[in-house]
Amino acid sequence: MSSSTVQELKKEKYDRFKEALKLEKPDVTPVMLSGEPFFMKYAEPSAKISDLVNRPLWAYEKVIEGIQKLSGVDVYAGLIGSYIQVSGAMFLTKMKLPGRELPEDALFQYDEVGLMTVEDYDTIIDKGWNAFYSDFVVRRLGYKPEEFEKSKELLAAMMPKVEEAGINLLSGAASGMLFDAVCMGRGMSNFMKDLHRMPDKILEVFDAAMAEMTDDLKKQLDEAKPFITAVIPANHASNDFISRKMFEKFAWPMYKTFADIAIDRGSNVYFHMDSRWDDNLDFFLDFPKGRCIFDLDGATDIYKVKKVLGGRMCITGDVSPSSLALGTPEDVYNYSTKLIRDIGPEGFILSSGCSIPPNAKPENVEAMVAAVRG
Amino acid sequence: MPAILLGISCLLTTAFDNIKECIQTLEREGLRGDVKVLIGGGPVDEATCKYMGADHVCRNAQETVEYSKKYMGVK
Repeated sequence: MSSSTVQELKKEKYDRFKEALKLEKPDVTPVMLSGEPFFMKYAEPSAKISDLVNRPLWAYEKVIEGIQKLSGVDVYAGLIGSYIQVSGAMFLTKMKLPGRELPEDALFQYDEVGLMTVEDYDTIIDKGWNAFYSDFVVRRLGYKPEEFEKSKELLAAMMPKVEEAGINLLSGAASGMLFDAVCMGRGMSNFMKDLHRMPDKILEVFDAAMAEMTDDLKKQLDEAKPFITAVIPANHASNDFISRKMFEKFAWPMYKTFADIAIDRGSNVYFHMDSRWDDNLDFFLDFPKGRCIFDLDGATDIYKVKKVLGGRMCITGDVSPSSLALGTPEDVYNYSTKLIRDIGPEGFILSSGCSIPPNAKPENVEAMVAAVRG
Repeated sequence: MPAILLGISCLLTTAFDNIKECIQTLEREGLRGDVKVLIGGGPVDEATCKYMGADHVCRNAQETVEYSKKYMGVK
């Protein structure tokens, strides 16, 4: 395929995605996927997950080949060029890596060691988030400063290859991980107790951190002007962990602030909503029509989301990892078709529930992509 | 007193086979009949429960507590 054809196809795919975001009906339902281990193995079945750690340039080139081979991916929501060795830093966790602490073909894991103390809360309040973070991840979690440099180099090396391959990446900016980071840094059990024992201090911590994070986000948006900004409530503020009342007090203000900043600057917001959010959906009615995407992993009732947020924001989801790993192509095709009919066709993007798992059957992922064309 | 309930948390589809093996081990050791096996976690659903040979899926920790109290007759 010539490079001009590749770029034309890329634009066609992104236009489809943009139409869905604006709650219009594209020519076919767009497909948005992620899952580097799956796509690497889809291109090269002998690859091991440890290749993403030990020879990332090679491994990410295989990821790109995998995405091209599947061909029906309109937007890729994963991280092509993530230096996995340091990816736990943003959540204040250590990493367990395949080929190091884990078997060669095991999925890498965030290791919630919970090293953060109550004294660290005071440090954040007194000195700010950035001063705390840069010290904590190096001195306490043991990440090496040079690894963060390697992380930037890897990303810079991969981006031209992604562009050349005609792959649309979802997001150029990300924010919103504060609640999860403090929860995982402190350790879930301690943090949940802190929310009850010292609620005012937790709010002070969030206020201090948000002052810097919002400035950082504004700079990031002014420089990159991304079409999409990812805001990632992810897990720990969901209904599986805290009540609606606690969500409203501790978590909602930060998501609302991040999203408002992005929208005010002309960007659109992608909410990555892992876990169950059924009781908090109405909060998200606060945002303007056709400016947000609500991405579900299967734990939230997507039909309830359609009822509450349909016609307001684009909904993405939610073919379950379980069905991709254990089901048949017929199961996956039928569920995908049902989603397109019931949740779409306007304002809907077909996706897996969070990332495609590494052990998804290729024929199941192919069936999912085939479903959009009937 | 032998265990009445066994709860297994699963966050990765790549752990499905390990949990299946765990439950099969209970069977091989003659312990399966005495214990109710509950599974939960992000990627787990009814199909996973059947595949693993577990007894019940709990969507979250709260539901696990509710189910367990009911099963054990705790008010």
